[in-house]
Amino acid sequence: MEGKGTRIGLGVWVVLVLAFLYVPIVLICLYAFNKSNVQSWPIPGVTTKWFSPAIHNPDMQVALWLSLKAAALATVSALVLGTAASFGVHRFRFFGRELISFILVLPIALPGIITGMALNSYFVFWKVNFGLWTIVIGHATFCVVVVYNNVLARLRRIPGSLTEASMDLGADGWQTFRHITFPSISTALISGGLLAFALSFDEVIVTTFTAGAQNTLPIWIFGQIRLGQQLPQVNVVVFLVLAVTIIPVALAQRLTRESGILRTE
Amino acid sequence: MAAGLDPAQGLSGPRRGARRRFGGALWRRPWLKGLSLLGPPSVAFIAVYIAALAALFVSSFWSVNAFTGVTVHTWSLNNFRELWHGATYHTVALRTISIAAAVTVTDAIIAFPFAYFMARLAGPRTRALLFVLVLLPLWASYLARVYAWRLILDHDGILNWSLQKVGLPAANIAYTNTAVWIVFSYIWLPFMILPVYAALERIPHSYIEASRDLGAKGGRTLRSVIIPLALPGVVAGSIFTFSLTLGDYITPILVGGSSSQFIGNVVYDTVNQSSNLPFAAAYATVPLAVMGAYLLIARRLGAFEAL
Amino acid sequence: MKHKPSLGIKDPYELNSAQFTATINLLKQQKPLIKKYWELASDEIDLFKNGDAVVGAAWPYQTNTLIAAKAPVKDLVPSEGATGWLDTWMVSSHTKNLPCAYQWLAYVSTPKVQAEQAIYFGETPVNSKACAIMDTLSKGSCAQYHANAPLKYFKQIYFWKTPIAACGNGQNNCMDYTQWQQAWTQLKG
Repeated sequence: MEGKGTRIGLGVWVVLVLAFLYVPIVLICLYAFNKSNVQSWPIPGVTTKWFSPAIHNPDMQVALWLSLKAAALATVSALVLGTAASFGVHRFRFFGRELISFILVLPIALPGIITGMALNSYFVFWKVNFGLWTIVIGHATFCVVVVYNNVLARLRRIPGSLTEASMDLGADGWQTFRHITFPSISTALISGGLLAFALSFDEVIVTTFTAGAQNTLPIWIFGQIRLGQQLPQVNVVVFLVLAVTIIPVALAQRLTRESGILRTE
Repeated sequence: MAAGLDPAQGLSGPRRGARRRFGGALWRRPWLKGLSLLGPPSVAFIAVYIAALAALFVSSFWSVNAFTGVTVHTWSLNNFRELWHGATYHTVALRTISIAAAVTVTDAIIAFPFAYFMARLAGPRTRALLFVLVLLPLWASYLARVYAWRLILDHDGILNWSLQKVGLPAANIAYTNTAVWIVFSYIWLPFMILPVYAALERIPHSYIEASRDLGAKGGRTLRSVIIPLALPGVVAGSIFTFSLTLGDYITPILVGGSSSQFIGNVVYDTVNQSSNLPFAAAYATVPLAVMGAYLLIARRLGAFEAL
Repeated sequence: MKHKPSLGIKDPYELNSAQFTATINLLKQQKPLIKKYWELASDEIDLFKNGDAVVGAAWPYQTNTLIAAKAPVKDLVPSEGATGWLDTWMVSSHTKNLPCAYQWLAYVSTPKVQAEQAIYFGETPVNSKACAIMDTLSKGSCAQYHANAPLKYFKQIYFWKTPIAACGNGQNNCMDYTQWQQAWTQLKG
């Protein structure tokens, strides 16, 4: 239905938006090679001297490792809790069913500083020591809804006749789950899990309230930005993280044809 | 799949029998199954998240002893009274909400044509590529991306450098609320594009054909068919862009100027410099109330299905 | 203190209501000139390096970083004097292993650790014996960070102390830290 003019106009728009999205990222990558440790334009010279100290920086390594652990654990909790909740909501009609969706959406819809502050004083009240698990709990709150929405949207698309056929053919509940339900939701789990991991891995605001004395990677980065002494190292790390994630993200995309930010279809 | 159902592949003997009995028990008592599925997530959420929020709200009625820093558990509305009468808190709240609204509108305007192209015009390969390109920035540190904007907007930055090259006057937007608005719009853009795309992609092609068959021109179809059907997606995206802007305090620190305090900044300083958690909690009820109202409206508009 | 002796300010951290209001009014008057109230050290480095600011209150750290990046800047203590900040270590009253905490305090006070910290974090070491080690770690850093400065230099700096109601002159009408904090929030708006 679109005329040629509209098509060209939209095409130009897409290119402009992509430029808007990627100019800062190109800059981050460019300044990973900055000769000076103070950032200014144009770049005074090119060097690779920051790569080795950045990679071997023990503080960065500890922070990266903590971030990976926290993101993995938050993602696993989100997968378990989110999948369970979506199955429950999908299968059963009950009073307060709407409320569950509402409660699960809250952590991502309420400003992060509120979640952070609330959890912080709650942990202090219960005398919980801040560390890996407080970070995981903080992140899991907003990761659950990502998995929940993805899986729920997928479950709504699986025809009920498939599971009925499986049962009719003599499969028990577990076999039906194992051979029918699970394969149909697996890609929703991958895309939901991947997004949950990304959100956790880059989270700063809740984390500043729940990390205690430990640094996750974004908090380490904020510390570096604060002082501004080793900014090129930050750029190197961001550049490398990006380089490492391009392939799995692209692959997962091919596998899953994801579409919603929180859901798959 | 048929092969997968072959009993020979499954477990056999007593273990299988036990599992069947267990499965059967759940089948006969659906409430038990429902409870075992919904129980853990609900309990986890209520015991940790909801309880923590409730405790925060309760603490906003308390106060802190200025000398010892110890929380005084006496009920009073003093914090709210101070907020009500403090002109600065009004200014900051108004600024935060206005910029969050501006960011949301900006992102909706930028995202809609982009998502439309993705959903309706791009071939499968281009669409997949665009998809990855929209998601990938989420993996490049939020902080580093905000910081990169300083290089662009600085007085001697890339923007002014480029403007000068083409003979235009310099734009002095570094360290202003304009900069805050631009950077927030940038950072949260993917969170708007994806739900809008999802909503657009779900519109059956037959609807658009029907509209055309009924004599509607392109503009009319857009207004009367596409935009109403995409609206839940836009509202879903706006939940993210609005609330993420509302609760952020780092972007205003990095790219804001001398009058760029957000609710988040005041809350953060009140906790970390004055250690006055009750007052911070009282102020935090402002975004809490705003978001609560927003979510109720969003649910009405069907945005939860589109998240 | 210097320009309005009539206010009778003796210590910048002990201000009664009239003195405090005068100070805040001066800050309000200055506000249109302010690009940014910097919060991070890197804010100021960027502001100077990229042409957004020409004068500002700084730590030696920012000046040294800018000079190293060949920015034409210089720092000085104005004739009115300067304010300063001392970072201190604290031992919690709940400390389980007190001797261990004291050993740590002794360790961080040794010249070598002081020198390393001074250079990494950009602050003046307290232990003057760190000077020689600083120069071996980074040439000229001892003088850069005023580690060898005479007592006179430090005497002109008003080191931060938390404002409390007690004015130090027996009176109890000074503005306390909470009031300072509120005024600052209001100033930033």
